[in-house]
Amino acid sequence: MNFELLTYPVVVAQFFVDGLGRGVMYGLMGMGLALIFGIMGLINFAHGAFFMVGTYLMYFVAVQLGVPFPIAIIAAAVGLFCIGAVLERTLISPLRKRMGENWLVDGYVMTIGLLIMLENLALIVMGPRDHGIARLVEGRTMISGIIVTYERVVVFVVAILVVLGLAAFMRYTNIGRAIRATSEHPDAAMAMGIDIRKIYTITFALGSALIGGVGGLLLSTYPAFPTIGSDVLLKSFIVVIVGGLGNVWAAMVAGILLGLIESYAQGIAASGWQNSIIAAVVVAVLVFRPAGLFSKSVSRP
Amino acid sequence: MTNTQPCLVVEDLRSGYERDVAVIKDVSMQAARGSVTGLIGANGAGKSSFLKSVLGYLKPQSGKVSFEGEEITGFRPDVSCSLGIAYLMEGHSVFPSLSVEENLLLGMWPWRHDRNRVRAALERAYDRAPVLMERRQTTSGLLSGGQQRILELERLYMTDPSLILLDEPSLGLAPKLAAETFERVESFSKEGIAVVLIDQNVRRVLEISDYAYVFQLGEVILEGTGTSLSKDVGNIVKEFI
Repeated sequence: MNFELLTYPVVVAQFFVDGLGRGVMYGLMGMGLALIFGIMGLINFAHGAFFMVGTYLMYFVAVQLGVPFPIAIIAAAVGLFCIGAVLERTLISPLRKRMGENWLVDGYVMTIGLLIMLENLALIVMGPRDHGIARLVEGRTMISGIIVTYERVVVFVVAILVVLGLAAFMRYTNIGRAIRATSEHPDAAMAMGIDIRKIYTITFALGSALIGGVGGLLLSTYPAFPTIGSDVLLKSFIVVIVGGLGNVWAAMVAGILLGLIESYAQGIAASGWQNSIIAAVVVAVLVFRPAGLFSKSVSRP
Repeated sequence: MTNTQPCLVVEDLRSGYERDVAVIKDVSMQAARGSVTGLIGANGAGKSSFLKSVLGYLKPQSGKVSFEGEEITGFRPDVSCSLGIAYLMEGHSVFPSLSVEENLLLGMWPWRHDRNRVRAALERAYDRAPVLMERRQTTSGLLSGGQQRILELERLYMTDPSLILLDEPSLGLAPKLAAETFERVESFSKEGIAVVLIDQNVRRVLEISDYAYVFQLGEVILEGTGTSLSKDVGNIVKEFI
C-alpha cells in the first residue's frame, strides 16, 4: 500500500474525479436492476445480457449505419425497451399468471435462462470478437492539475439527466404514480382500476431500456462482446446490495461510493487489492446493514 | 328489501383459492342502488373471499355475477373497478409513500385523461374532507389511522361509483372515528349508491343495512331485512358469530 500518495492533494483529487466518473457508470448500471426489483420483486439475472445487447445495438447503429452517437444511444435504449416489453409479455407475464404468488423463483430461473440464451445467441451471430469504438467524445482538459476527459463529463451529465428524468417520470406522470402504487400495494392498485400487468410490462421494459442505453453509452469502455455483461451484472448486484434492494436512487449513490473506493484502492494498493477491498465492503454492508446503506429498514425486506 | 333495481346480482357463486376446494359455496345475493346490504359472520366465514370473488381477485369456479345488468363473472379487478365498482379492502390500502393528492388522483385512474373531471372530483373530495386539503402534499403513510381511512373513503368516492364494497371499514378505529365512518357509509347509500358492507360491529351493520346476509363456512345460512335481523341480533351473534 502506498499511502504516501494520499498526501498529494492533486493525486487525491485525481482519484476522486476518476472514482466519480467510474462510480456514475456503476450507478447507471445498477438503476435498471434496482427498478425492476423494486417494482416487480424480480431479480433480473439477464440484466448483464441486456447490457451486452445494448452495446451491440449501439455498435450496429453508430458504426455500421453511421448514425450520430447520441441518436445511437437512444436507439439502443428504445431497442431494449421493445425487447424487454416483448420478453415480459411473452415469458414473464404468463409465468406470473400460472404460478400466482410463487412465481418469483421460477422468474429467477427464467432470467438465468434468458442470460444463457442471449449470450450464446450473440456468440453464434457476432462471433467471439469484440466490437467497440475508441471514444464517445474525444479530448480532455486539465483543471488545477487534474485531468478530466470529456467522455467522463458526458457520462456524468447523462447520469444526472437520467436520474432527474426518472425522478420526474415517477413523480409527475400518471404512469409513474401507477408504478409506485403498484410496487406498494398491487391489490389496492387494481382496485383503482390500474391494469398491473401493463405496469409490470412497462417497468420491465423501462429497466431494460435503462441498461440498454447504458450499454450504448459505455461502448468505448465496454466493447460489445458476448460475455461483456458478466462484469456489469456483478457490478450492478454490488451497487444494488450496497444501496438497498429496489431503491433506484440509492443504487446511484452506492455506485458512486463503489467507484470512489475502487479508484482510491487502485491508486494506493497493488493490483488485485481493489477487488478484495470491494468484496470486503460488500461483506461489511451485509453484516452491519443487511438491507443496504440507504434503506430505512435494518433487515433485508 | 327496500330497493327495487338490483345493481349487483350474484347467483350461485362458487370460488376458492385452490382449483378443487370451494371456499364460497353457491352464494346468491343482491344489492340495490340507494341501499346498504350487510354481510355478517364469524372470522373465516368467507365474507371477504366472497367480495374478492365478486371483484375478480378470486376466479369463480361457477355461478354468475352481474353488475348493472351486465355479466362480469371472472372479470379482472381493474376492469370491474373501471366499470363503476369501488372497493375498500380489509386493512389499510393507502399508498404510503405517495402524497394525499397522489392517492386521490389514483382514485380517478380510469378517467385520468379527462382533466376537467379529475379536477372537479379532487375539489369535491377536498370540500367534503378539508383535512385532506390541509394535508394534500403530506406523504399519506404519515397520516393517522383515522385520516388514512378518510382518505380511503374519499378516494373510493372519486369515481362516482354505482356500487361500493366495504370490507371492515371501522377496523382499528377509535369509537368516535368508527361512528363517523358508519355515517359516511350511510351517506353513500343516501346518494343513490349501492353499498355492500362487511364489519365486525354486527349491531351497527344491521342497524344501517336495508338487507343482510349471514355467512357461515362459505355459505349464506340466514338472510333478511336489517330490521328483522336486528331484533334477533343476540341469538345471531351467539349462534353464528
